[in-house]
Amino acid sequence: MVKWIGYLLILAACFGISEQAVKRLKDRRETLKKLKVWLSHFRGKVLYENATLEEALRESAAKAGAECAPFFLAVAEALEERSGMRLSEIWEKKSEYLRKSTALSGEELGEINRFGAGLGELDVKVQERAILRYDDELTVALNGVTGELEKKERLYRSLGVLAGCFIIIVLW
Amino acid sequence: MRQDILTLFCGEIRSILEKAEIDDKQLQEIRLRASRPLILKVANEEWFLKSDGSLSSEEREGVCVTAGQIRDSFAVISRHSYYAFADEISRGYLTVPGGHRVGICGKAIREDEECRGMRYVSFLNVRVAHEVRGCGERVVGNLYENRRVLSTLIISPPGGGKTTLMRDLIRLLSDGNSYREGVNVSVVDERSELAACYHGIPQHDLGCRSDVLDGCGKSEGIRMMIRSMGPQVIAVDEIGGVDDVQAVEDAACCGCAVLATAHGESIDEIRRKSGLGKLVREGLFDRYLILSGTKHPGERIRCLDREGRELCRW
Repeated sequence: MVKWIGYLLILAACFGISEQAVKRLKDRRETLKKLKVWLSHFRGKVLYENATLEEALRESAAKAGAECAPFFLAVAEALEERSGMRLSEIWEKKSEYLRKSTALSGEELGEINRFGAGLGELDVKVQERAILRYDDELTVALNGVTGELEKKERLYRSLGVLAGCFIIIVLW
Repeated sequence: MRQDILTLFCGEIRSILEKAEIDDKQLQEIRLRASRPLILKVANEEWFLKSDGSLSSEEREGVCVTAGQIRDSFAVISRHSYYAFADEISRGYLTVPGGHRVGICGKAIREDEECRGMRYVSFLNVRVAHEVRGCGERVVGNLYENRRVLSTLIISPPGGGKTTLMRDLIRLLSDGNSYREGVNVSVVDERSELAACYHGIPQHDLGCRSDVLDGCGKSEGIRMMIRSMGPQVIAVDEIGGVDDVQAVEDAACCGCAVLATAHGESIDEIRRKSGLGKLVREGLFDRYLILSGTKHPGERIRCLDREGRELCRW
């Protein structure tokens, strides 16, 4: 009886691991979607309200979802403190929030850092171009994750179950 | 040094300024020039700041500022949002919280014969705002005649204290004083020097009956205020252009008293100016306050009547 319970637990654990991998992909997709929504609000604040970066980041942060909002709020707070640091330094330092709390890939985190480092300089046209470019990059990343999810969702689940079965057979 | 001034600079400059022992009330300017020593203007005297925070009259002892430090400071001053202040930057200055004004110089970006912005910012001049409450009290009594507020022109050379005096006079006229109750004052603050509005809220006390139109051109602003706010007094800083003069004339015709400032040393100098001179010759102003004083701005004030006769001096 105990042996069978053990087998069931192995199967459940393997399935859980595969579900975790699927969830990470889904979370990544959701984060990218929310970042796109945030970017659209941020764009409005910068281009149409002519808000400063700290105002635009603070006021649009809520649109970025619970995972990313603390990052934008932390950057806005650091800017308000007027510590004398460069924006790129502040942005990179605070991006630790994203690294810890989101499922974004290293490449996606690099993109958001590059986007932040170039913000604020020169005129509003340059801001618009930077925002549009980042929006394009988010779209590409989002399409990539959606495609990956379609392909890998079933694969991860099957692999989880099969791996569980394999371990059970080995232990039999 | 005051925190609101220190936070205008990048970390390296800030750490040196933090060591400087200067009376904030005496500090007038902080000048940063690329590859040149940092200069402080304290009580109308220029000093070079040494790396240990002490002041020196020797140029070679002053700490040199790099172009990078100026650009980093400019990023801090513009709150890392150059685009949001592009209009002000194209005019060569920025007003920052606390009412201080930062002059900006570098390579001008020109478009259609107009300056559209600034690149390679390599020169900064932080002019420290001083609100001297009460400095207008000795003068304000001369601005009335039979309880009517008289149109007044304040004249002084740059840095002579005319904006500081005007600010306090606005407050006294607006709040009321021992000579009469307060009146509605409309302030057209094109360069954000009088009220130093930050997010639309005046940083300086201009009294409870003052309305401020911030960042709008003087001639357009005067007309807007007359139409919309029903002022008894229109206050405007540094008039001079033909359009400004026409708008001031219009305001006077509408029954508003005009409180204005102009650069100059004397009433004769103003009389010779092409635009403003016409107003003086026509007798639009009932009073002239002429400021002088080499050590302390506004140290000596002369009050003249419409004909240029001296009424009193302090």
